[in-house]
Amino acid sequence: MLGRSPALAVPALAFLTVFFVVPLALLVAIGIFPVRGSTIVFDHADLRPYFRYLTDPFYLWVTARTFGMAAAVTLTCLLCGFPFAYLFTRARRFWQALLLSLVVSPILTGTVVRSYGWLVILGRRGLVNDALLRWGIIHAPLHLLFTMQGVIIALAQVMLPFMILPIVGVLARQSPYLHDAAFGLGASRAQVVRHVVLPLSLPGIFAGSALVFVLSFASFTTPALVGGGNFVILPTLIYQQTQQSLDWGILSAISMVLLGTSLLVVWVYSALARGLGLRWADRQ
Amino acid sequence: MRRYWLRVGDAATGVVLLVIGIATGVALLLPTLVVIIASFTNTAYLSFPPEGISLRWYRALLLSPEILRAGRVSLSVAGVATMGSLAMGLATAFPLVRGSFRGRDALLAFTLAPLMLPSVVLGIALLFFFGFLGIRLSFVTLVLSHILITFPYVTRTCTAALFHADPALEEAGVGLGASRWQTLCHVTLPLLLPGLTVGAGFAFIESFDNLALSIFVAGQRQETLPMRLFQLLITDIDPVVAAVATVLVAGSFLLLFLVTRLAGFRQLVSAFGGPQKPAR
Repeated sequence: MLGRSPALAVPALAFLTVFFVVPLALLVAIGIFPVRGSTIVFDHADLRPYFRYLTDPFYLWVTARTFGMAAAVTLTCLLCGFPFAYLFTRARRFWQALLLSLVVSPILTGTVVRSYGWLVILGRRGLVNDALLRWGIIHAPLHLLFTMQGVIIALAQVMLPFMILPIVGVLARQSPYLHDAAFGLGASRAQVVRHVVLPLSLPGIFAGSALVFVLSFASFTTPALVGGGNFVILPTLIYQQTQQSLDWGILSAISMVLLGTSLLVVWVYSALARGLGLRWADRQ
Repeated sequence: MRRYWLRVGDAATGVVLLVIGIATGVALLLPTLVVIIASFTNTAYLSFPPEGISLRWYRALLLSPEILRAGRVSLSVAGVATMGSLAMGLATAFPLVRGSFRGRDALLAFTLAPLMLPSVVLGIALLFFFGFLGIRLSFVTLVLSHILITFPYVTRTCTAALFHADPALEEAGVGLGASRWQTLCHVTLPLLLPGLTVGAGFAFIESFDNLALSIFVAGQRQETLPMRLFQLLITDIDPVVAAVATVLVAGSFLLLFLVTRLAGFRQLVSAFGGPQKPAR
């Protein structure tokens, strides 16, 4: 058998150490030790950036807003993604292929392009306002762009595949006869969804929700474009701060909050999944 | 009476699921469709639906040196980064699947770790790192950063492909007198080709589409296409972006077509988020 030697992994290991571990360690360090120019002064620890972060109402408000946005996006994805995944598993083969390409193709389209699409849809002269005005439902254009609602809608669409694919992945592996058996035993459709489909899709729902939350909490492109310059969340805050002044201490503190949240969510997810005995590996 | 309500609830559940499901399907497609249609507008501002049809924004695209240069930068960065990721990912996948040494699981987790990190955090870390070492931001720093985010995907698809490749076929090759190198080129790599193709295609698109990392680590003269589009969009909703976007969509579908021809649709789906078979 070819390629059993661990030596083959050395280039990757070296690459990751130099360009991943070291930069990350430096990023942690500049939050704790003062930076002068582009060198770190290791003489004394200085935790002022963190204190500043924790006492500044603006930073706290941006953090809360980022949490709220990510939670709303996750919920929207779940509410839209679950019915779609359910229809997918009930569809015929031809339709399944079609629906699957519908889910996969947005990933290929690119985030900038799709965010741009939402600019066209939600803009003052966009699709939604145009239709609502024409049908006389509203008399003045709605402000959809550059608002929280607009960002949530656009970001939820960008994240949808990451919710749908795990749920479909779990449901597709279940026997289709479970569904028929439940019907045969006299369950209504609502009961089948509630007592059969929903519990079976829980592993996918957990995985998808964790993924969508982590990705949207750290997302930059869509909030920056659809939200505009005044819609500040943690990732766009980092970018803005690098454009204005390079205050490395506070940049490090913000990054640690982003990073810590991602790791926390992943940890909670795996603890939950383990607690429920829902690990992917067990269900293969 | 209860039966009646059950039936109403039943129908309502079905209708609600169907309506939300269809609406979701439409929402998945809508932004891309809107951009494509809007790109053919003949007005100087963006309107939807377009008032008249013209190709003026495609002409504007071809006459814009900044956009064309950004496109070239993006293509070369994505090309080089994909090559680098492919070489490193393939080499790493072998010991991950076939080796039996201590710390193999840790190695697997380590190779996937860059995916766990928000791009913006990675970007800011690399920005300081390059400054700390006194390295000027350039094409090289951009490519190295892109390898960092595409390499985990390639490793993942390569591990999955290698997991399904039967070592007995290689032993047969060796038994028939092939050298190790011949076995690798004529037996192992052809077996891995579908997985490699999907990994490469995905890495290319991931790199080509990246904005959040590029804006931190690209040099002044290495503006990538997403960076250019971003600049055009934060100042004004310029219709030329719709033309560029349409070209990009066409390009990625061409790539998708090529990859599915080479690798098959199932392979492609398994590469995205779906549950993976863990390496032994």
